[in-house]
Amino acid sequence: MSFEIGAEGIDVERLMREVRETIEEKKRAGLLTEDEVREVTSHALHPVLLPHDLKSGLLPELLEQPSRWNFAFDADTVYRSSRGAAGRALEALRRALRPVQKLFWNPTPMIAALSRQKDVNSAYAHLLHNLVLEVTRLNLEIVDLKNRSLQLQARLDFLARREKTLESMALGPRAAPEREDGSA
Amino acid sequence: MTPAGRPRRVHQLLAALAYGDAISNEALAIQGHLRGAGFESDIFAEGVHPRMAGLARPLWQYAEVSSPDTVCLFHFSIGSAAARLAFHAPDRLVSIYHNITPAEWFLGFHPHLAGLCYHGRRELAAFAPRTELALGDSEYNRRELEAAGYARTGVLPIVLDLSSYRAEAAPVVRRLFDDGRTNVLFVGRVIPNKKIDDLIRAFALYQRLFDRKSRLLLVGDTRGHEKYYDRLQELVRERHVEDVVFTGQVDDDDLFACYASADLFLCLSEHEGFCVPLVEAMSFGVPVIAYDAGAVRETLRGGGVLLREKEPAVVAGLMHRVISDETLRARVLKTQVRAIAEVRAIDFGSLLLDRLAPVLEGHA
Repeated sequence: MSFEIGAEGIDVERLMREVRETIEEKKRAGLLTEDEVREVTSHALHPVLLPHDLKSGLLPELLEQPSRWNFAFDADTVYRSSRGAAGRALEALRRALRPVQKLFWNPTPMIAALSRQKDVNSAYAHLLHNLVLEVTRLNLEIVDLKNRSLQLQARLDFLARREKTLESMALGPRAAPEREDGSA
Repeated sequence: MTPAGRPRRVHQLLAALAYGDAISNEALAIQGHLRGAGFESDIFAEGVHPRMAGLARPLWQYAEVSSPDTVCLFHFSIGSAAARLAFHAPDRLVSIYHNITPAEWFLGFHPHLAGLCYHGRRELAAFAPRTELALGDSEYNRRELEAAGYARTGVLPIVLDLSSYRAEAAPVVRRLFDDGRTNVLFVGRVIPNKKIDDLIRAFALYQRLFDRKSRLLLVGDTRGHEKYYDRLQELVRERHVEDVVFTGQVDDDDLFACYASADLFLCLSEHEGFCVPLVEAMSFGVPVIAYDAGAVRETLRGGGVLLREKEPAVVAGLMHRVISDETLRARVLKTQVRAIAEVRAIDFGSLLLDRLAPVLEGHA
Protein backbone atom coordinates (compact mmCIF):
# COMPACT_ATOMS: atom_id res chain seq x y z
CA MET A 1 0.00 0.00 0.00
CA SER A 2 1.57 3.27 -1.05
CA PHE A 3 -1.01 5.73 0.22
CA GLU A 4 -3.70 6.07 2.82
CA ILE A 5 -7.06 7.76 3.02
CA GLY A 6 -8.83 8.47 6.26
CA ALA A 7 -12.29 8.06 4.65
CA GLU A 8 -14.48 5.18 5.67
CA GLY A 9 -15.65 2.80 2.99
CA ILE A 10 -12.60 3.14 0.77
CA ASP A 11 -10.71 -0.03 0.06
CA VAL A 12 -7.25 1.46 -0.33
CA GLU A 13 -5.71 -1.85 -1.45
CA ARG A 14 -8.29 -2.16 -4.23
CA LEU A 15 -7.91 1.47 -5.24
CA MET A 16 -4.16 1.04 -5.39
CA ARG A 17 -4.54 -2.09 -7.51
CA GLU A 18 -6.89 -0.28 -9.86
CA VAL A 19 -4.52 2.65 -10.21
CA ARG A 20 -1.64 0.32 -11.09
CA GLU A 21 -3.88 -1.60 -13.53
CA THR A 22 -4.84 1.67 -15.25
CA ILE A 23 -1.18 2.51 -15.70
CA GLU A 24 -0.49 -0.98 -17.07
CA GLU A 25 -3.39 -0.59 -19.52
CA LYS A 26 -1.97 2.69 -20.74
CA LYS A 27 1.36 0.96 -21.26
CA ARG A 28 -0.28 -1.90 -23.16
CA ALA A 29 -2.11 0.63 -25.32
CA GLY A 30 1.29 2.08 -26.23
CA LEU A 31 0.64 5.41 -24.55
CA LEU A 32 3.58 4.94 -22.26
CA THR A 33 6.66 2.73 -22.29
CA GLU A 34 8.78 1.53 -19.42
CA ASP A 35 11.67 3.56 -20.84
CA GLU A 36 9.61 6.74 -20.78
CA VAL A 37 8.56 6.12 -17.17
CA ARG A 38 12.19 5.53 -16.26
CA GLU A 39 13.21 8.67 -18.13
CA VAL A 40 10.67 10.81 -16.28
CA THR A 41 11.54 9.27 -12.92
CA SER A 42 15.28 9.49 -13.29
CA HIS A 43 15.38 12.92 -14.91
CA ALA A 44 17.54 14.45 -12.22
CA LEU A 45 17.88 18.15 -11.63
CA HIS A 46 21.55 18.85 -11.80
CA PRO A 47 22.72 21.23 -9.13
CA VAL A 48 23.93 24.49 -10.54
CA LEU A 49 27.60 25.35 -10.63
CA LEU A 50 27.94 28.93 -9.50
CA PRO A 51 30.48 31.09 -11.32
CA HIS A 52 32.28 32.03 -8.12
CA ASP A 53 32.61 28.37 -7.19
CA LEU A 54 34.62 27.50 -10.30
CA LYS A 55 37.94 25.87 -9.57
CA SER A 56 39.87 24.84 -12.64
CA GLY A 57 42.36 22.07 -12.02
CA LEU A 58 44.26 22.92 -15.21
CA LEU A 59 46.98 25.05 -13.64
CA PRO A 60 48.05 22.64 -10.88
CA GLU A 61 47.97 19.88 -13.49
CA LEU A 62 50.30 21.82 -15.77
CA LEU A 63 52.58 22.93 -12.95
CA GLU A 64 52.84 19.42 -11.56
CA GLN A 65 54.72 18.04 -14.57
CA PRO A 66 56.14 20.96 -16.56
CA SER A 67 58.53 18.60 -18.35
CA ARG A 68 55.56 17.13 -20.28
CA TRP A 69 54.71 20.38 -22.02
CA ASN A 70 57.60 22.81 -21.46
CA PHE A 71 61.37 22.53 -21.91
CA ALA A 72 64.02 23.30 -19.35
CA PHE A 73 66.62 25.73 -20.57
CA ASP A 74 69.54 27.54 -19.04
CA ALA A 75 72.95 28.77 -20.14
CA ASP A 76 74.53 25.28 -19.86
CA THR A 77 71.74 23.25 -21.50
CA VAL A 78 73.36 23.23 -24.98
CA TYR A 79 76.60 21.78 -23.58
CA ARG A 80 74.97 19.07 -21.47
CA SER A 81 74.95 15.35 -22.29
CA SER A 82 72.77 12.51 -21.01
CA ARG A 83 75.22 9.71 -21.64
CA GLY A 84 76.32 9.00 -18.07
CA ALA A 85 80.07 8.97 -17.36
CA ALA A 86 80.96 9.33 -21.03
CA GLY A 87 78.54 12.22 -21.19
CA ARG A 88 80.30 13.98 -18.33
CA ALA A 89 83.61 13.70 -20.21
CA LEU A 90 81.89 15.01 -23.35
CA GLU A 91 80.45 17.96 -21.38
CA ALA A 92 83.93 18.81 -20.05
CA LEU A 93 85.33 18.70 -23.57
CA ARG A 94 82.51 20.95 -24.91
CA ARG A 95 83.18 23.46 -22.15
CA ALA A 96 86.88 23.42 -22.93
CA LEU A 97 86.18 24.03 -26.59
CA ARG A 98 83.59 26.74 -25.93
CA PRO A 99 86.01 29.62 -26.74
CA VAL A 100 86.95 27.92 -30.01
CA GLN A 101 83.30 27.29 -30.90
CA LYS A 102 82.53 30.97 -30.28
CA LEU A 103 84.87 31.79 -33.14
CA PHE A 104 82.35 30.15 -35.53
CA TRP A 105 78.99 31.29 -34.10
CA ASN A 106 77.54 33.10 -31.06
CA PRO A 107 75.12 30.85 -29.08
CA THR A 108 74.29 33.55 -26.50
CA PRO A 109 71.27 35.11 -28.32
CA MET A 110 69.83 31.63 -28.93
CA ILE A 111 70.31 30.67 -25.26
CA ALA A 112 68.71 33.93 -24.13
CA ALA A 113 65.79 33.49 -26.55
CA LEU A 114 65.09 29.90 -25.52
CA SER A 115 65.38 30.75 -21.81
CA ARG A 116 62.88 33.53 -22.32
CA GLN A 117 60.63 31.20 -24.37
CA LYS A 118 60.57 28.76 -21.43
CA ASP A 119 59.37 31.54 -19.12
CA VAL A 120 56.84 32.71 -21.71
CA ASN A 121 55.46 29.15 -21.94
CA SER A 122 54.90 29.15 -18.17
CA ALA A 123 53.11 32.47 -18.44
CA TYR A 124 50.96 30.99 -21.26
CA ALA A 125 49.96 28.15 -18.93
CA HIS A 126 48.70 30.67 -16.37
CA LEU A 127 46.96 32.63 -19.09
CA LEU A 128 45.34 29.50 -20.51
CA HIS A 129 44.11 28.52 -17.06
CA ASN A 130 42.59 31.95 -16.46
CA LEU A 131 40.98 31.92 -19.90
CA VAL A 132 39.43 28.48 -19.34
CA LEU A 133 38.07 29.69 -16.01
CA GLU A 134 36.73 32.91 -17.44
CA VAL A 135 35.14 31.31 -20.51
CA THR A 136 33.39 28.71 -18.34
CA ARG A 137 32.24 31.43 -15.98
CA LEU A 138 30.90 33.49 -18.88
CA ASN A 139 29.16 30.43 -20.33
CA LEU A 140 27.40 29.85 -17.03
CA GLU A 141 26.35 33.46 -16.92
CA ILE A 142 25.02 33.25 -20.48
CA VAL A 143 22.95 30.19 -19.56
CA ASP A 144 21.75 32.07 -16.51
CA LEU A 145 20.74 35.11 -18.54
CA LYS A 146 19.04 32.93 -21.17
CA ASN A 147 16.99 31.27 -18.46
CA ARG A 148 16.19 34.61 -16.92
CA SER A 149 14.95 35.97 -20.26
CA LEU A 150 12.79 32.85 -20.77
CA GLN A 151 11.31 33.36 -17.33
CA LEU A 152 10.57 36.99 -18.10
CA GLN A 153 8.98 35.89 -21.37
CA ALA A 154 6.77 33.41 -19.50
CA ARG A 155 5.84 36.09 -16.97
CA LEU A 156 5.06 38.51 -19.77
CA ASP A 157 2.83 35.93 -21.51
CA PHE A 158 1.00 35.33 -18.25
CA LEU A 159 0.51 39.05 -17.68
CA ALA A 160 -0.70 39.48 -21.27
CA ARG A 161 -3.28 36.72 -20.76
CA ARG A 162 -4.33 38.32 -17.52
CA GLU A 163 -4.67 41.68 -19.23
CA LYS A 164 -6.81 40.14 -22.00
CA THR A 165 -9.07 38.54 -19.40
CA LEU A 166 -9.34 41.85 -17.60
CA GLU A 167 -10.21 43.62 -20.84
CA SER A 168 -12.85 41.05 -21.73
CA MET A 169 -14.37 41.42 -18.28
CA ALA A 170 -14.31 45.21 -18.38
CA LEU A 171 -15.71 45.56 -21.90
CA GLY A 172 -18.01 42.56 -21.98
CA PRO A 173 -18.75 40.77 -25.27
CA ARG A 174 -17.77 43.19 -28.01
CA ALA A 175 -20.68 44.33 -30.19
CA ALA A 176 -20.41 43.56 -33.90
CA PRO A 177 -19.50 46.70 -35.88
CA GLU A 178 -22.40 48.34 -37.59
CA ARG A 179 -22.49 48.09 -41.37
CA GLU A 180 -22.96 51.14 -43.60
CA ASP A 181 -26.57 50.24 -44.39
CA GLY A 182 -27.28 50.24 -40.67
CA SER A 183 -27.72 46.49 -40.29
CA ALA A 184 -25.66 44.74 -37.66
CA MET B 1 5.05 42.14 37.60
CA THR B 2 1.38 41.90 38.50
CA PRO B 3 0.43 41.77 42.19
CA ALA B 4 0.02 38.01 41.84
CA GLY B 5 3.64 37.81 40.77
CA ARG B 6 2.85 37.11 37.14
CA PRO B 7 4.79 38.92 34.44
CA ARG B 8 2.71 41.64 32.88
CA ARG B 9 4.72 42.19 29.73
CA VAL B 10 4.84 39.49 27.05
CA HIS B 11 6.41 40.84 23.89
CA GLN B 12 7.33 39.15 20.64
CA LEU B 13 10.53 39.40 18.64
CA LEU B 14 10.75 38.34 15.05
CA ALA B 15 13.00 38.86 12.05
CA ALA B 16 10.30 40.25 9.77
CA LEU B 17 6.64 41.05 9.91
CA ALA B 18 5.71 40.15 6.37
CA TYR B 19 2.50 40.40 4.39
CA GLY B 20 0.66 37.16 3.65
CA ASP B 21 3.03 35.18 5.84
CA ALA B 22 1.71 32.53 8.23
CA ILE B 23 4.29 33.28 10.93
CA SER B 24 3.57 37.01 10.85
CA ASN B 25 -0.16 36.32 11.02
CA GLU B 26 0.43 34.00 13.95
CA ALA B 27 2.43 36.72 15.73
CA LEU B 28 -0.47 39.12 15.28
CA ALA B 29 -2.94 36.50 16.55
CA ILE B 30 -0.75 35.85 19.61
CA GLN B 31 -0.58 39.57 20.27
CA GLY B 32 -4.36 39.86 20.06
CA HIS B 33 -4.93 37.03 22.52
CA LEU B 34 -2.28 38.27 24.95
CA ARG B 35 -3.70 41.77 24.94
CA GLY B 36 -7.16 40.29 25.42
CA ALA B 37 -5.85 38.44 28.48
CA GLY B 38 -4.57 41.69 29.95
CA PHE B 39 -0.90 41.54 29.05
CA GLU B 40 1.12 44.35 27.56
CA SER B 41 2.12 42.90 24.23
CA ASP B 42 3.96 44.46 21.30
CA ILE B 43 5.68 42.99 18.28
CA PHE B 44 9.27 44.04 17.58
CA ALA B 45 10.59 43.22 14.13
CA GLU B 46 13.78 43.78 12.20
CA GLY B 47 11.89 44.39 8.98
CA VAL B 48 8.27 45.38 8.46
CA HIS B 49 6.39 45.03 5.18
CA PRO B 50 4.86 48.38 4.10
CA ARG B 51 1.37 46.85 4.32
CA MET B 52 2.05 45.88 7.94
CA ALA B 53 3.46 49.27 8.93
CA GLY B 54 2.22 50.35 12.33
CA LEU B 55 1.65 46.79 13.52
CA ALA B 56 5.20 46.31 14.75
CA ARG B 57 7.81 48.42 16.48
CA PRO B 58 11.42 48.62 15.30
CA LEU B 59 13.81 46.18 16.91
CA TRP B 60 15.97 48.89 18.50
CA GLN B 61 13.02 49.98 20.65
CA TYR B 62 13.06 46.62 22.42
CA ALA B 63 15.56 48.04 24.93
CA GLU B 64 12.72 50.19 26.29
CA VAL B 65 10.69 47.16 27.42
CA SER B 66 13.42 44.62 28.04
CA SER B 67 13.83 43.54 31.69
CA PRO B 68 14.18 40.33 33.73
CA ASP B 69 10.41 40.51 34.35
CA THR B 70 9.52 40.66 30.66
CA VAL B 71 8.64 37.48 28.81
CA CYS B 72 10.08 37.50 25.31
CA LEU B 73 8.41 35.27 22.73
CA PHE B 74 11.05 34.86 20.09
CA HIS B 75 10.05 33.44 16.70
CA PHE B 76 13.25 31.59 15.89
CA SER B 77 14.81 32.56 12.58
CA ILE B 78 18.25 32.08 11.11
CA GLY B 79 20.99 34.67 11.17
CA SER B 80 18.83 37.60 12.29
CA ALA B 81 19.63 40.53 14.56
CA ALA B 82 16.46 39.61 16.47
CA ALA B 83 18.14 36.32 17.44
CA ARG B 84 21.21 38.06 18.84
CA LEU B 85 19.00 40.50 20.72
CA ALA B 86 16.81 37.75 22.17
CA PHE B 87 19.84 35.77 23.23
CA HIS B 88 21.55 38.62 25.08
CA ALA B 89 18.48 40.38 26.53
CA PRO B 90 17.84 39.75 30.25
CA ASP B 91 14.22 38.72 29.52
CA ARG B 92 12.69 35.34 30.19
CA LEU B 93 12.91 33.65 26.84
CA VAL B 94 10.27 31.54 25.11
CA SER B 95 11.33 30.31 21.66
CA ILE B 96 8.73 29.57 19.03
CA TYR B 97 10.19 27.26 16.41
CA HIS B 98 8.85 27.09 12.88
CA ASN B 99 11.61 24.79 11.63
CA ILE B 100 14.83 25.29 9.73
CA THR B 101 15.20 23.49 6.41
CA PRO B 102 18.18 21.12 6.58
CA ALA B 103 21.16 22.68 4.79
CA GLU B 104 21.65 19.81 2.35
CA TRP B 105 18.52 20.81 0.43
CA PHE B 106 20.18 24.01 -0.68
CA LEU B 107 23.71 22.73 -1.28
CA GLY B 108 23.55 22.49 -5.05
CA PHE B 109 21.36 25.51 -5.61
CA HIS B 110 22.00 28.13 -2.94
CA PRO B 111 25.27 27.58 -1.06
CA HIS B 112 24.90 30.77 0.95
CA LEU B 113 21.49 29.74 2.29
CA ALA B 114 22.84 26.24 2.92
CA GLY B 115 25.47 27.87 5.15
CA LEU B 116 22.85 29.95 6.95
CA CYS B 117 20.66 26.89 7.57
CA TYR B 118 23.63 24.89 8.81
CA HIS B 119 24.60 27.60 11.28
CA GLY B 120 20.90 28.17 12.09
CA ARG B 121 20.62 24.64 13.44
CA ARG B 122 23.76 25.13 15.51
CA GLU B 123 22.31 28.41 16.77
CA LEU B 124 19.10 26.56 17.66
CA ALA B 125 21.11 24.24 19.90
CA ALA B 126 22.94 27.24 21.42
CA PHE B 127 19.60 28.76 22.44
CA ALA B 128 18.58 25.62 24.38
CA PRO B 129 20.17 26.48 27.76
CA ARG B 130 19.02 30.10 27.45
CA THR B 131 15.36 29.20 26.77
CA GLU B 132 12.79 28.61 29.51
CA LEU B 133 10.22 27.13 27.19
CA ALA B 134 10.35 26.14 23.52
CA LEU B 135 7.23 25.73 21.42
CA GLY B 136 7.10 24.03 18.03
CA ASP B 137 4.15 24.56 15.72
CA SER B 138 3.89 20.82 15.18
CA GLU B 139 4.84 17.69 17.06
CA TYR B 140 7.47 17.16 14.36
CA ASN B 141 9.05 20.52 15.22
CA ARG B 142 8.74 19.84 18.95
CA ARG B 143 10.72 16.62 18.51
CA GLU B 144 13.43 18.59 16.70
CA LEU B 145 13.56 20.99 19.65
CA GLU B 146 13.92 18.09 22.03
CA ALA B 147 16.71 16.64 19.89
CA ALA B 148 18.44 20.05 19.94
CA GLY B 149 18.60 19.87 23.75
CA TYR B 150 15.60 21.94 24.90
CA ALA B 151 14.42 20.78 28.28
CA ARG B 152 10.87 22.12 28.31
CA THR B 153 9.00 21.86 25.01
CA GLY B 154 5.41 21.99 23.78
CA VAL B 155 3.31 22.27 20.65
CA LEU B 156 1.56 25.48 19.69
CA PRO B 157 -0.02 24.77 16.30
CA ILE B 158 -0.41 27.52 13.74
CA VAL B 159 -4.09 28.29 13.84
CA LEU B 160 -5.28 30.12 10.79
CA ASP B 161 -8.06 32.61 10.70
CA LEU B 162 -10.22 30.51 8.40
CA SER B 163 -12.86 33.22 8.19
CA SER B 164 -10.39 35.40 6.26
CA TYR B 165 -10.62 32.91 3.39
CA ARG B 166 -14.22 33.97 2.82
CA ALA B 167 -12.94 37.25 1.36
CA GLU B 168 -13.63 37.73 -2.30
CA ALA B 169 -11.33 35.98 -4.78
CA ALA B 170 -9.77 38.07 -7.56
CA PRO B 171 -12.27 37.88 -10.44
CA VAL B 172 -9.63 38.24 -13.14
CA VAL B 173 -7.51 35.33 -11.93
CA ARG B 174 -10.67 33.31 -11.37
CA ARG B 175 -11.77 33.90 -14.96
CA LEU B 176 -8.24 33.26 -16.21
CA PHE B 177 -7.98 29.80 -14.70
CA ASP B 178 -11.64 28.77 -14.77
CA ASP B 179 -11.47 27.98 -18.46
CA GLY B 180 -12.49 24.34 -18.48
CA ARG B 181 -8.98 23.04 -17.89
CA THR B 182 -8.23 20.79 -14.94
CA ASN B 183 -6.16 22.81 -12.49
CA VAL B 184 -3.65 21.00 -10.29
CA LEU B 185 -2.41 23.39 -7.65
CA PHE B 186 0.57 23.69 -5.35
CA VAL B 187 1.18 26.67 -3.09
CA GLY B 188 4.57 27.26 -1.52
CA ARG B 189 7.91 28.88 -2.13
CA VAL B 190 9.82 27.50 -5.10
CA ILE B 191 12.65 25.89 -3.12
CA PRO B 192 14.34 22.48 -3.47
CA ASN B 193 12.84 20.77 -0.40
CA LYS B 194 9.33 21.37 -1.75
CA LYS B 195 10.27 19.02 -4.61
CA ILE B 196 8.52 21.02 -7.31
CA ASP B 197 10.47 18.84 -9.75
CA ASP B 198 8.56 15.78 -8.51
CA LEU B 199 5.30 17.70 -8.98
CA ILE B 200 6.28 18.43 -12.59
CA ARG B 201 7.23 14.77 -13.17
CA ALA B 202 3.92 13.45 -11.84
CA PHE B 203 1.96 16.14 -13.65
CA ALA B 204 3.80 15.40 -16.92
CA LEU B 205 2.52 11.82 -16.81
CA TYR B 206 -0.96 12.87 -15.69
CA GLN B 207 -1.24 15.31 -18.59
CA ARG B 208 0.04 12.80 -21.06
CA LEU B 209 -1.97 9.79 -19.93
CA PHE B 210 -5.21 11.20 -18.58
CA ASP B 211 -5.93 14.81 -19.34
CA ARG B 212 -4.31 16.84 -22.10
CA LYS B 213 -6.35 19.85 -21.06
CA SER B 214 -4.81 20.22 -17.63
CA ARG B 215 -2.71 22.89 -16.00
CA LEU B 216 -0.19 22.87 -13.18
CA LEU B 217 -0.47 26.02 -11.09
CA LEU B 218 2.60 26.69 -8.98
CA VAL B 219 1.88 29.60 -6.69
CA GLY B 220 4.80 30.85 -4.65
CA ASP B 221 7.75 33.13 -4.47
CA THR B 222 10.69 32.26 -6.69
CA ARG B 223 12.91 35.16 -5.63
CA GLY B 224 16.24 34.14 -4.17
CA HIS B 225 16.01 30.65 -5.62
CA GLU B 226 16.50 31.45 -9.29
CA LYS B 227 18.94 28.60 -9.83
CA TYR B 228 16.40 25.99 -8.76
CA TYR B 229 13.72 27.80 -10.74
CA ASP B 230 15.98 27.69 -13.83
CA ARG B 231 16.34 23.94 -13.49
CA LEU B 232 12.59 23.51 -13.13
CA GLN B 233 12.02 25.51 -16.29
CA GLU B 234 14.50 23.25 -18.05
CA LEU B 235 12.64 20.19 -16.79
CA VAL B 236 9.33 21.58 -18.09
CA ARG B 237 10.86 22.25 -21.51
CA GLU B 238 12.69 18.93 -21.79
CA ARG B 239 9.67 16.87 -20.75
CA HIS B 240 7.42 18.88 -23.09
CA VAL B 241 4.91 19.65 -20.36
CA GLU B 242 2.26 22.13 -21.42
CA ASP B 243 0.62 24.75 -19.24
CA VAL B 244 2.86 24.86 -16.21
CA VAL B 245 2.25 28.28 -14.67
CA PHE B 246 4.64 29.78 -12.14
CA THR B 247 2.70 32.73 -10.79
CA GLY B 248 5.35 34.02 -8.38
CA GLN B 249 4.18 35.55 -5.11
CA VAL B 250 0.54 36.65 -5.34
CA ASP B 251 -1.82 38.81 -3.31
CA ASP B 252 -4.37 37.15 -1.04
CA ASP B 253 -7.30 37.65 -3.43
CA ASP B 254 -5.30 36.06 -6.27
CA LEU B 255 -4.39 33.17 -3.99
CA PHE B 256 -8.04 32.64 -3.08
CA ALA B 257 -8.88 32.64 -6.81
CA CYS B 258 -6.25 29.94 -7.39
CA TYR B 259 -7.75 27.78 -4.64
CA ALA B 260 -11.24 28.42 -5.95
CA SER B 261 -10.19 27.34 -9.47
CA ALA B 262 -8.25 24.27 -8.35
CA ASP B 263 -9.44 20.71 -8.94
CA LEU B 264 -6.70 19.14 -6.88
CA PHE B 265 -3.99 20.24 -4.44
CA LEU B 266 -0.85 18.17 -4.88
CA CYS B 267 2.06 18.39 -2.44
CA LEU B 268 5.14 16.17 -2.88
CA SER B 269 7.34 18.17 -0.53
CA GLU B 270 9.95 16.22 1.43
CA HIS B 271 10.45 18.60 4.32
CA GLU B 272 7.66 20.53 5.99
CA GLY B 273 7.57 21.94 9.49
CA PHE B 274 3.82 22.57 9.25
CA CYS B 275 2.64 23.40 5.67
CA VAL B 276 -0.12 26.00 5.96
CA PRO B 277 -1.32 25.57 2.32
CA LEU B 278 -2.59 22.08 3.18
CA VAL B 279 -5.03 23.61 5.68
CA GLU B 280 -5.93 26.34 3.22
CA ALA B 281 -6.65 23.83 0.45
CA MET B 282 -8.84 21.76 2.78
CA SER B 283 -10.74 24.81 3.91
CA PHE B 284 -11.38 25.75 0.27
CA GLY B 285 -12.78 22.27 -0.39
CA VAL B 286 -9.98 21.27 -2.76
CA PRO B 287 -9.10 17.57 -2.50
CA VAL B 288 -5.54 17.13 -1.27
CA ILE B 289 -2.94 14.52 -2.20
CA ALA B 290 0.23 14.94 -0.16
CA TYR B 291 3.43 13.01 0.42
CA ASP B 292 3.92 11.90 4.00
CA ALA B 293 7.00 13.91 5.02
CA GLY B 294 7.81 16.05 8.05
CA ALA B 295 4.69 17.44 9.69
CA VAL B 296 2.37 16.82 6.70
CA ARG B 297 0.52 13.93 8.35
CA GLU B 298 -0.10 16.00 11.48
CA THR B 299 -1.30 19.01 9.53
CA LEU B 300 -3.71 16.95 7.45
CA ARG B 301 -5.31 15.48 10.61
CA GLY B 302 -6.58 12.45 8.69
CA GLY B 303 -7.86 14.54 5.79
CA GLY B 304 -6.99 14.07 2.12
CA VAL B 305 -4.85 11.33 0.62
CA LEU B 306 -1.47 10.70 2.21
CA LEU B 307 1.19 9.18 -0.06
CA ARG B 308 3.85 6.86 1.29
CA GLU B 309 5.74 6.71 -1.98
CA LYS B 310 5.72 8.99 -4.95
CA GLU B 311 6.39 6.99 -8.07
CA PRO B 312 5.27 9.53 -10.72
CA ALA B 313 3.07 7.08 -12.67
CA VAL B 314 1.20 5.97 -9.55
CA VAL B 315 0.77 9.57 -8.38
CA ALA B 316 -0.57 10.46 -11.85
CA GLY B 317 -3.03 7.53 -11.70
CA LEU B 318 -4.19 8.53 -8.25
CA MET B 319 -4.57 12.17 -9.31
CA HIS B 320 -6.81 10.99 -12.13
CA ARG B 321 -8.94 8.91 -9.76
CA VAL B 322 -9.37 11.69 -7.21
CA ILE B 323 -10.23 14.23 -9.90
CA SER B 324 -12.56 12.09 -12.00
CA ASP B 325 -14.14 9.60 -9.58
CA GLU B 326 -16.98 11.56 -7.98
CA THR B 327 -17.52 9.06 -5.16
CA LEU B 328 -13.86 8.94 -4.19
CA ARG B 329 -13.60 12.71 -4.42
CA ALA B 330 -16.63 13.18 -2.17
CA ARG B 331 -15.19 10.78 0.40
CA VAL B 332 -11.81 12.49 0.38
CA LEU B 333 -13.51 15.85 0.80
CA LYS B 334 -15.47 14.45 3.72
CA THR B 335 -12.23 13.59 5.52
CA GLN B 336 -11.05 17.12 4.92
CA VAL B 337 -14.25 18.65 6.28
CA ARG B 338 -13.67 16.60 9.43
CA ALA B 339 -10.06 17.80 9.65
CA ILE B 340 -11.04 21.43 9.18
CA ALA B 341 -13.72 21.05 11.86
CA GLU B 342 -10.96 19.91 14.23
CA VAL B 343 -8.90 22.99 13.34
CA ARG B 344 -11.90 25.24 13.90
CA ALA B 345 -12.54 23.64 17.28
CA ILE B 346 -9.14 24.74 18.58
CA ASP B 347 -9.45 27.67 20.94
CA PHE B 348 -6.13 29.29 20.11
CA GLY B 349 -6.37 31.88 22.91
CA SER B 350 -6.81 29.28 25.65
CA LEU B 351 -4.24 26.98 24.07
CA LEU B 352 -1.71 29.81 23.95
CA LEU B 353 -2.19 30.72 27.61
CA ASP B 354 -2.10 27.05 28.57
CA ARG B 355 1.18 26.49 26.71
CA LEU B 356 2.71 29.65 28.20
CA ALA B 357 1.44 28.84 31.71
CA PRO B 358 4.78 27.45 32.99
CA VAL B 359 6.41 30.81 32.26
CA LEU B 360 3.48 33.12 32.99
CA GLU B 361 2.71 31.45 36.31
CA GLY B 362 6.32 31.91 37.28
CA HIS B 363 7.01 28.24 37.93
CA ALA B 364 9.91 28.06 35.57
